[in-house]
Amino acid sequence: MRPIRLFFVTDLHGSELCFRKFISAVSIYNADVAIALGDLAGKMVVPVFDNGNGSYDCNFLAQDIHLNNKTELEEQLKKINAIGFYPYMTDRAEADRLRSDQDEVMKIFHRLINERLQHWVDLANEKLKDCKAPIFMAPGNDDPLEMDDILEESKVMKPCVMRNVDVLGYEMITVAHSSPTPWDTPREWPEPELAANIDKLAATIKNMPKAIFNFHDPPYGSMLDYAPKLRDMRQSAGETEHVGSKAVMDAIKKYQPFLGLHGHIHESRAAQWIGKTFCVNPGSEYGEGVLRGVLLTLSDTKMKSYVFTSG
Amino acid sequence: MGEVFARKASGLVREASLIDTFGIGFMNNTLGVGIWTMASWGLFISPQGNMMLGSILASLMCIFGIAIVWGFLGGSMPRSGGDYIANSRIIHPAVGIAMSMTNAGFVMTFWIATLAPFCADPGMTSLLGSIGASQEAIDWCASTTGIVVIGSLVNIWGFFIVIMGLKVYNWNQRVVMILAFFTLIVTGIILTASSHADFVAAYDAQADADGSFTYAETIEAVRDEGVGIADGAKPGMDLGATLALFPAIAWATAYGYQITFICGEVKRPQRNIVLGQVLAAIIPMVFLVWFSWGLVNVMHQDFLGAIAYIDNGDAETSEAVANFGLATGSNTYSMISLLTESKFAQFCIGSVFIFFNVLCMPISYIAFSRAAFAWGMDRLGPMWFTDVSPRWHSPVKNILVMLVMSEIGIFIYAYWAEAIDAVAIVALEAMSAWGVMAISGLLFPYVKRARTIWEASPYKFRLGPIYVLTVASVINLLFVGILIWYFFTVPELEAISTWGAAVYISIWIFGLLWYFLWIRHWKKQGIDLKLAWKELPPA
Repeated sequence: MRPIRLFFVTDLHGSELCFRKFISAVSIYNADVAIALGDLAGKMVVPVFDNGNGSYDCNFLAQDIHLNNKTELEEQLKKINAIGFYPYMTDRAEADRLRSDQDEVMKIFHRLINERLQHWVDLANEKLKDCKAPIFMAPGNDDPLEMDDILEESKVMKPCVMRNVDVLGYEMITVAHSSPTPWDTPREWPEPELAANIDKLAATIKNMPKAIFNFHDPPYGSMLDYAPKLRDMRQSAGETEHVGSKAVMDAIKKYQPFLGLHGHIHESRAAQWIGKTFCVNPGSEYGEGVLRGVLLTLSDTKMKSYVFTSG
Repeated sequence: MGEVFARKASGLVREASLIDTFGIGFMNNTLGVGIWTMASWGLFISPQGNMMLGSILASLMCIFGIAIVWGFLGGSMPRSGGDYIANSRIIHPAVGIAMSMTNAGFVMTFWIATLAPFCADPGMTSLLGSIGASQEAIDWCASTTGIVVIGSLVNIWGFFIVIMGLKVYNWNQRVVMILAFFTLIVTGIILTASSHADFVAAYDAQADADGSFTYAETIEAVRDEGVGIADGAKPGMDLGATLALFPAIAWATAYGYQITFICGEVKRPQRNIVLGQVLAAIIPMVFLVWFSWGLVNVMHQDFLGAIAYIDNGDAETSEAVANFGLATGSNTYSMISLLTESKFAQFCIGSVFIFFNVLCMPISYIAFSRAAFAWGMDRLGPMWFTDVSPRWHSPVKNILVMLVMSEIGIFIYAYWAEAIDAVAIVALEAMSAWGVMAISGLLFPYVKRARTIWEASPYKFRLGPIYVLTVASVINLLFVGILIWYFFTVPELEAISTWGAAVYISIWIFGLLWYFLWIRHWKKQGIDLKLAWKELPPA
């Protein structure tokens, strides 16, 4: 059996540039299959103020920026999109109102998140229509639930969340939910519920030595789940702690699938064997417009090699 | 004007640990050692040099040059691995790894091999001399056995606290940093509270007891040997003589760049990496100016030049050096310790050197282990470069490699010091570590391969039409140029040697070969590693 080259990325967080790089990477890395695991949604909306005289103002990466004309505006919008923020054309009166209206801000967020994902789906339909490699895409804990509907309608990017899909002869199950976080994000389950859902999915696998666990949350206590420790929602000095899921770790130990694909903790780029399972978290640098990923060469039930990528 | 709206999402909150970030840069600047190198080594090279002016000029060049360049590059690419990260992304991965092997591999080993023995002599010897310990104990510390034992103990301590993870290291760093500040401030207060008459009286009394030169005789003896020490109490404003102090002052101001080796572990990296570097140069400047003023005020420029000559001169060729017999020794801190009779104060003064020197060992372990980890992550090395011990949460294997290399270095220093002198590479280190990063800084805004990183960088500030980073890179290169000029024109600096150049060139060649061999290795497996760094073209 010919070895399979699998390209895996995670946590694009709305970065237009990273998504476009992901599309290019499939052919550049000569991948046989590509998987993008959540989070897909961005975290920031950047108000862009129209001054009414052909100029615009915004605050980007803590810098106040004045844009003299539409050309400069277009360039700035590209930069905002590139790193996963959502530009929002508005005026000062609306921005003042939004400051005290969180519900309205959330509505804007949801609209912009959905528009960005729809745009990605359309882009992939156009750019990858002749691509022979199957492309899988799934959300993560940060992603609003309605994003699933948009992914379901994609012609190119196959949805895979909470189901067992065939990946060139490997069975892959995908879980977007994470264990509870301090941010109370849209897709979180308490550990027992997460364990129960993993068990339910794992029960569908026929050949565990060729199974892939595509779980957004990394296994607790591994090298894949180190994050800065939080105290009162502030990171403490120089301390890290394990923040992954115990249910995921238990499931990997219990079922010993061939491969564990994980994300969630951007800083914790690492690979580790947990028993017979090779687990990897390629990390994320979406904020710098850098697509981090990992190229895995799989030969039946053997992990031939892996290379972290950064492009 | 503006603000952004954020939603609840994981990982969004980032908060600083500025103190630990600053600590690595500041403690690697070895301020306490730098004061000694400035007053002893610096005035030996350039006895007419104006220490206060030199401190201000060198510090400003380090703040607006090196600190900004390394801070901006590190903050734009907040990954642990030091200069390798920026150089490989901006110039070329082959240059990145060759430079990194030279700096994080060889130079860090070299520093441990030199600075761990420094804890024995002049560290322990000065401390014991300051508190009036027996000559036998002092001699043992300076002996081959003493250097191996004390150097290895310090080295193993550094190894151990780094293996235990950054948290344990940070606690050790905080304790040592507090002690270092405390002892240095005590020393500064004693120096500042004393008068010239106090010093002359104390020095002459000690000379009388030890049968050595008096204050006036010390100056006369050195002047009689034709050494161009200053004519009076105050230094002149000779710019050339002052710039010649730069290599000595750089010890206290130019080495904060070690922060970049832990960029990926810094909280609020875009703020703390730069701020840590800048503070790590500003605070030494304040102390250097204070001590420059105090030393000149209390001891006078002519005497400082004379005692620097005795401290660094060769007893076989100099009668002044051979006949100097002060039991406390001739180094700067020994001189300051004459100003007090309090054993506690003398202990503090004698400890300054050790407290400011001792963290260089763990910091070198951090640098090497993080750099090797980064090479491994880019697959430019064996897989075990990226192994992190599940028990210790640190790259134990990389740290063990450094332990072995550095212990060999300490033994060579103790038993065959000429070999260490023979491979003097300070000049080449200055050229490469600071020089290549300055070139990266110059290129960063303009090269295609790093365009998106630059686009996302928060440091695109301008001074008129020129990027601040460009200005800082030019200042950095100017500073390196001044150092290089003196390194190559002042033989007493012993900054360059034929063997050193040979070793340096060999490591560069080895690094380049290493790069191409790993590229070939992965190509055989069907993977074009060059693509792993290359900026992907967006669809």
